[in-house]
Amino acid sequence: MAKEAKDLLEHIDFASLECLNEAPGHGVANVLKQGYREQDELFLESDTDEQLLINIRFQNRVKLGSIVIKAIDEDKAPKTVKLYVNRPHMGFSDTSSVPASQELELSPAALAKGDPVPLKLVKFNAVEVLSVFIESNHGGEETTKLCKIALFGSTGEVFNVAEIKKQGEEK
Amino acid sequence: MSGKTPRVLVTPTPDLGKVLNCMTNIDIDGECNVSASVQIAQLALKHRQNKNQRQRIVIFVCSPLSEDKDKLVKIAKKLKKNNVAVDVVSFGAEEDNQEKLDAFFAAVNSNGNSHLVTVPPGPVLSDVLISSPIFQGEGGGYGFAGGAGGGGGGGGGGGGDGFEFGVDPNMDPELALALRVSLEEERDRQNRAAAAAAAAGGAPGEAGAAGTSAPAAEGGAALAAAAATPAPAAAAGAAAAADMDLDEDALLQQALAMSMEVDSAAAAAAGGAQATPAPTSAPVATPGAPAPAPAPAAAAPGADADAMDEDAELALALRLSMADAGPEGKEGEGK
Repeated sequence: MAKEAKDLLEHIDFASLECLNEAPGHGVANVLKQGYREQDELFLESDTDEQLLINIRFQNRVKLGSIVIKAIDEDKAPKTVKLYVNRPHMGFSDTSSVPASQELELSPAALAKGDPVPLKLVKFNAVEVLSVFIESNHGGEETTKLCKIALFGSTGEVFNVAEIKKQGEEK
Repeated sequence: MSGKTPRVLVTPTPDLGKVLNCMTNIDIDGECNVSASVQIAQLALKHRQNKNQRQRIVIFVCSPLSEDKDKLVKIAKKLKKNNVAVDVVSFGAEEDNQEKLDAFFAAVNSNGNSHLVTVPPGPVLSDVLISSPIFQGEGGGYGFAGGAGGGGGGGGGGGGDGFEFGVDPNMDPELALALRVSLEEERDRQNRAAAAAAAAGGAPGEAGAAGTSAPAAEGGAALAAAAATPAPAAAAGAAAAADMDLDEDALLQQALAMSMEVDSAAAAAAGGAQATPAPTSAPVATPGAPAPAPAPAAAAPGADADAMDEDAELALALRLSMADAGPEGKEGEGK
């Protein structure tokens, strides 16, 4: 059964979206929201130091297949990214105590193009809250900058009345 | 944050009584230890029950700080990184601490969510605080912290209604409510008038309104003056108010005028306005009408001089309705 990965943008609960250590004016909405994330001039930048922690809550349980991170500024592009699943309201102190579901090492080339990075399906099978912890950047700069984050996967069993009707008509 | 070691006197709670109770048990003892207190406060916030609430620490400092500036800045950066806002109230040892606290505040402030208030000796602390951005800032939102005990409090519920009409909520809640309701009704009426004007079209509506106002238009010089001054102020779009609204307006104005006997000038204005559109309410129309005085835009500064603070809003509401009623009168006069 082929599961086609689709963009999980509309399943993100933007009301509870939070990003720790984001610089005012360059917030996480710039990289996640429809339209904003396509523009490279709108970016997310960290504030006090180079680490960022983004807590994304989904409206329903999703399966994550891959993640796209795009960063055009090579020195400030994220290097080590840790993903945590279903840990609501993570803080920076939690990142050292909680084991990550997956740890990614990103290459500047892939980041500049925005290639999707595949994720271990097993760990990301029923995700309600995803925490993206950006630990370091490539140039050792004081701030980390990225232009886009996109999540791909499937939403599992979503009850959609319209679809049911369609099938009935086909028969 | 003194004594042997800073300690939490009460965990974050919406129960104000608990907090006040612990405040009375605070002893003054030992040295001020801000860094430890802030870290303990941060931990207390981290383990708060409702994680959806934002984190805020309020620090009351009245002794010289023992930490040096760099250490404070480091702590501030850690707070900013974790999205914790900080309000600092400095009194007692302001000069000693000013520089350090300024550096601390600059490092922790993210987009204006934090405040630093320095209180010189003299004025009462609570008065200064109420008028400071800490209370005024987020529409009256404030938090609590046990200063001496090092306990941190999460951001609490809001205070008054943002002091829209002066100091109304504290002194006279009913008045505040009445004013707010009348303003909203006024706005609704304005919207309806504008919508009706758009629907009815310019010419037919005005002719109808002019017809009914003509008979009552011989009020005399007073009415002419009242009508003339609103006319320039009235927006063209709102000029043709539908007939059906006029009676409601008149009654509303009456009610407002009667409830607000304080401002006689405004009441007279209402009286003058009523005479024009609603012939039926002519008897109520002129309770001694020194109408030139209360006219709107042109004479606004004069009227405002009488209608201070809480009355200013009401006067404005009345003026706006008069502005609608005014053009009909002018039409009548012209014809």
